[in-house]
Amino acid sequence: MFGYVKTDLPNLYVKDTILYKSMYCGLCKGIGCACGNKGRLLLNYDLTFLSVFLHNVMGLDVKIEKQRCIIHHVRKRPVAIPDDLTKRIGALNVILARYKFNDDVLDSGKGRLARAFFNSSYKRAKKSEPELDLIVKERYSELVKYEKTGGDSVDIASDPFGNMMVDVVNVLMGELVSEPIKEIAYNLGKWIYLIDALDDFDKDKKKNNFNVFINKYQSVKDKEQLIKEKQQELIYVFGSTLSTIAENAKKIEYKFNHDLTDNVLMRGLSMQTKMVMENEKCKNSTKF
Amino acid sequence: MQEFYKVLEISEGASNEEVELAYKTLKEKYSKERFMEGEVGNNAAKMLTKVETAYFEICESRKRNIDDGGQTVENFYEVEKSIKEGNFAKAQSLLDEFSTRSAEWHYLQSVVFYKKNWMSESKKQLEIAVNMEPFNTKYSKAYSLLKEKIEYNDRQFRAGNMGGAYGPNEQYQERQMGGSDSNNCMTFCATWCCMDMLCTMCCR
Repeated sequence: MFGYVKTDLPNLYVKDTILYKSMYCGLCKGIGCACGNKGRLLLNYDLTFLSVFLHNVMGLDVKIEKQRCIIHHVRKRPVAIPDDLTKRIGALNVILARYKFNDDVLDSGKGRLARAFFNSSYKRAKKSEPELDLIVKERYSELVKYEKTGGDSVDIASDPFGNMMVDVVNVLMGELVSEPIKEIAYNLGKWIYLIDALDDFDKDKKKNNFNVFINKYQSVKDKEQLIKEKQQELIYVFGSTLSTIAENAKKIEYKFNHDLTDNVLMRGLSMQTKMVMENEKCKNSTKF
Repeated sequence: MQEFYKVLEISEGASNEEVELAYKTLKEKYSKERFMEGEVGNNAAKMLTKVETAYFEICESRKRNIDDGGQTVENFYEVEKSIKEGNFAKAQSLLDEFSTRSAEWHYLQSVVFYKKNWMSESKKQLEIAVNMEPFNTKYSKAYSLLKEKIEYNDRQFRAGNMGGAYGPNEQYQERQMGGSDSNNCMTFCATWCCMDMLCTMCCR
């Protein structure tokens, strides 16, 4: 369910590429501070974007220093020194990953090993951020409840994820939260859930897992046919969330330059959607 | 009852404020025209009485709380009010209480879904409303607005971008010189490096 919120790298300014990289490294180190080094393996792009976005709208500047790390041990890399917010997002990263493993185990019985491996990181994360843990837990159980009914509504199925994002942003931002930010959070959560569902269509069909698109279009055999026959409907589903995001992104009061967040919100998301729709492998597209 | 609404040039589902606004503007218009020469003045005078009766009748019927169809307009008004206040949970629970589902009901449900960002459900409800009353301009107008949004997104999608901080869109809709190779320059460079290294190894 992770790794869809990415930049559109060819159109990213060099300054923002460096910022993005250092925020990525910073979050990795932040996870290390909050939950131990094992948890750093769970680092992903979605939370990196959240970190960039929240730092910007909350007016928290980051300090970039050149540091070494386990993977990049020869040459020093620019790293945004993890502050409190980064550490909280780091904990959230581990918590989200934990519930994703739980979901996998429920779905297919796989992932027990990974879950056990990261158990200690999760415990630390839960201890430092009990509120965030509760939010994710409740929203996931809402989702599971709907999945059990076997419903076919795209909106209802993705609602828990959207609300999860809103709650998370509420907790992390406190009083600084505003209406457009909430709208973006809601639609971003929805979008992540739906793009993942679409991408996993074939896999879920094979394994008989819950997938809202399978329930909605029961006559369709595989993803290729789905995209061919229901293209207009799919474009509507994704386009409506993306346009709401774009609309609200213009209303946000940023504290810093927002080229990077705009790149992700306006270009990265639609590019990812396009790639999933065109059946390309999206996961490898934006490597550094 | 329908004629009265027609006189005021509004639909039956209009809110109380809309009725009052329509009444006021029409009254003003005909009051001015009333003193003009010939047919125009005559007609305006007639219309003025018509507007007065229509407004009176509509207000009376709304006070009695019951419309011709047996549906309570006052309740729709309540729903609209909660939508305007941004209290969508209340609007939803009010909608759930209705036993008969008229076109207006589906329309309001669609609005609630829209406000909740449930675009697919919203479209479904609006389609039902339009099918039930194809001649209602309010529904068809809302539907065409929603459709416009889809088409707009569709265009943006094909162009592969949603605009934003990177200046006017047109500039980016043009094809990149060198095609995808230049976009994938990172992978290209890495491959080139490897090839180069292999070559030097052999040729040494």
